[in-house]
Amino acid sequence: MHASRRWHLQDGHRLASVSALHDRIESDTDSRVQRLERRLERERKARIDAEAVAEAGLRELYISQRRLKLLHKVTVAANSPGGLRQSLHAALEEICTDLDLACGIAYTVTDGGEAARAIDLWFSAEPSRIFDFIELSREAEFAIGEGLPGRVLADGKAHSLEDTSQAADGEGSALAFTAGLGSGFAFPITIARETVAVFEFFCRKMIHLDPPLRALLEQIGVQVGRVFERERSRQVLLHEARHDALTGLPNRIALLERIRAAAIAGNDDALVKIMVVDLDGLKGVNDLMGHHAGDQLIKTAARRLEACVLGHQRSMLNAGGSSCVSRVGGDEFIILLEGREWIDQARGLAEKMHRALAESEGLLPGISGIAASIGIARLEGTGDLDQLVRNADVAMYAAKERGGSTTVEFDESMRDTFRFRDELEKELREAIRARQFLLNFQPIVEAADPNVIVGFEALVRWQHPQRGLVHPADFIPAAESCGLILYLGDWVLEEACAAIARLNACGGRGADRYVSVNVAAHQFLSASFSARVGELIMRKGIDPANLRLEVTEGVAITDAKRTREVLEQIRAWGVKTSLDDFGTGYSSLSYLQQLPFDTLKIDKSFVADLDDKRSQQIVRTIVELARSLDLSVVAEGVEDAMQGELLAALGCDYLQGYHYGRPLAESEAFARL
Amino acid sequence: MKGIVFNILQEAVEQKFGEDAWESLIDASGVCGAYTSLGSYPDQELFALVAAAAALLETNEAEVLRWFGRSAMPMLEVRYPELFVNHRTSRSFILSVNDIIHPEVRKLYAGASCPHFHFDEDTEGRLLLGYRSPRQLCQLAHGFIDGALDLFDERATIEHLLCMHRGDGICRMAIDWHP
Repeated sequence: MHASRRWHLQDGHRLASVSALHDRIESDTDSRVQRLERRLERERKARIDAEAVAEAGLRELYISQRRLKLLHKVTVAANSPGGLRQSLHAALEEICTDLDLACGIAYTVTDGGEAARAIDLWFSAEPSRIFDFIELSREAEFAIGEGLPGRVLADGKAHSLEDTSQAADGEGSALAFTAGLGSGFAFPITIARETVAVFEFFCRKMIHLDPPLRALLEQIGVQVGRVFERERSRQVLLHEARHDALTGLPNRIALLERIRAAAIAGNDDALVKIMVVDLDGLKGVNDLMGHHAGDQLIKTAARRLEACVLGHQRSMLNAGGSSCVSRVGGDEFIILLEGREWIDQARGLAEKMHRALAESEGLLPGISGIAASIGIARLEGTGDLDQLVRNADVAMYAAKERGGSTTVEFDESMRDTFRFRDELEKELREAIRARQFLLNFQPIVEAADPNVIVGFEALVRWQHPQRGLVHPADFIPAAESCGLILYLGDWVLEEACAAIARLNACGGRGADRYVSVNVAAHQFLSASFSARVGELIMRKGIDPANLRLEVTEGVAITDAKRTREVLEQIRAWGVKTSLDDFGTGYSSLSYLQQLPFDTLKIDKSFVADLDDKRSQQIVRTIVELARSLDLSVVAEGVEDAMQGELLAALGCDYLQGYHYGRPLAESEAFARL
Repeated sequence: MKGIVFNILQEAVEQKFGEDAWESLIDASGVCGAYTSLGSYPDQELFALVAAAAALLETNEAEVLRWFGRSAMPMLEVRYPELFVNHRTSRSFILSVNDIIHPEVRKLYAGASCPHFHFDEDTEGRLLLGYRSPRQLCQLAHGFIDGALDLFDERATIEHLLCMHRGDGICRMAIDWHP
């Protein structure tokens, strides 16, 4: 201590510098430590910042991967085979499991988007735990704006209920809260932004719909929407497979299923009737006014038939049983009636249908009403569906044969007719082979001088080996329906041409008399018809002007364009043409103007009713019409001189009928010249 | 064990006992002492640190863990505010704990084991929290719950109905919030 002081004393200067050094070293150490501490702090901060950046990135990545994985799972679930419910359930399960949710409930959108209704489709990992809540929820319904599903419906966005205890949704939320389900959310299942369903979830924890979660839910909504889209397409396909595209009515397949079901449901006595409704003359509308007009007519008819059935249903006191209107073919509808109440009223219903169809209101200009032939048949005992449809068809054809716009109920005698027609067809084939047909000729005279025969109408007769001479009305329809008319018609045409050749060859008055031949629609419209006519004229060496071809309005309305072509072709060779049975069918001015005929033949029904002033008026109108179109007029079915005189007075050019001569064998007929 | 647990422990110790205390703990427990939140470290290091702390503070490990859990909560809130911001109650926050822990653990190590808390309610409406882990850190969980209650300014009674430390197969705590 002393020495030191001395040292201090002896060398004060040195001591001072040591002290300063010491101070400096000490302060250097302090600042060094401080600097190190600051550096450490900086390093630590940098580490924490770096960690934060890395962790945030990693967490984000993790969450997005998780969500992608969930989206993938939902997509797989949505696309899994099996029905709509199965796919939806799988999607609910994936979402609940992945997001750790207590339960998920599916709602479909009803009332045109005005409400969401639960469809008893839910998932819960702990169903027994929240049984009451699920029980309440699985059939719940929310109007737009109400509850979570309703809020989703209102704006098509995801919504959350962050605390069910605070929600004002009533029972559901209260129950959710008691079930320990603290929060919930719901989001839309969409097809092209249209909300088609709502998924609702509840969980114990709080769910916050942050933007990434919202984006995920939106994508899930689109993926699950595909399930609905698929289901819709399936329904459309199913509907299309079972419904008629034009009218939306069930088609034949669906109808037969319904009849089958009705037949099975019925006990010993199946109370099933069907009504076949066939629109008369639809082809005419198609041809004259285009297919669009035809389609319109079918749609109108469909609506009217449906309205009739619905109206009838409303008027029924006891609404047991059921009915179904279906479209089974181009112009054919079948109405299924099931149950005592319905089948007893088939007739009355048919009458209502005729009246409803006949209404002119709402139809295209030029169509005054829709006519239909209705056939009714009842399912017999064991229920042969084919037989049922066949019977109704037979009845419908019978109605058509009676002139349409009428109803015929099937009975056993018709079955005989049906059987008879079958046999008839066989016999007709044999008759063509065995040449059992012959032609008769009925004179056509001048109205001004009935003694002058201007020509003959060739009429076919069937010399049946057992039944004797058969009238055309008894076999022509059969020949038409089975296609034999082509052979028969061709034979008639050839025979008539041969007869013309013989008639003209006789010289004298026969040289310029004509023979009129009826040509069936099928025959007239066949591709080879005009060529065949040309060939026969050449082969038989006849003057084309002495061949007159008669077609009915049916031909013209079946295919107006083709009719016109054929008419023009044969008329170019000089063959004359007549429109037969004028006034009975679609007597439309438009086609009369378009088709080149030489003669109109007034139907015999007007002639038979000549006592009626109205018939006279009609005849006068037809004559005037013919004059204006430069056509001559033949009146058919003239039975006495008075009629003839009256027709002449009304302006008819030519007359034909029993009064002027029955159809006779060729030699007898021609001898009358 | 996730590095963040060591980081938060360090922060808690330094805040309460000063920086040197942490160094002393590291020295006393013989752990490596370098922890990043992005890393994962042997569970034993945490146990060693807790044991050392208990010895230094002359208390038991359960006490240390509960203190740590409770102290950690405000620090976690500073670091991860987004995990807290959407909750209005501690109950809601506690129920979301699986959603917090699972991504935190698995974002780094896809297959890493992480605790799963099972929630239920008993007939009295108490929240039952089930926990099962070989780490047996139910006291840390208890501490976290205390911390959460503090954060949301709530009170609750926590009862350990079952405990692995007492030979039960799982730990189960009942949380009964005070009205």
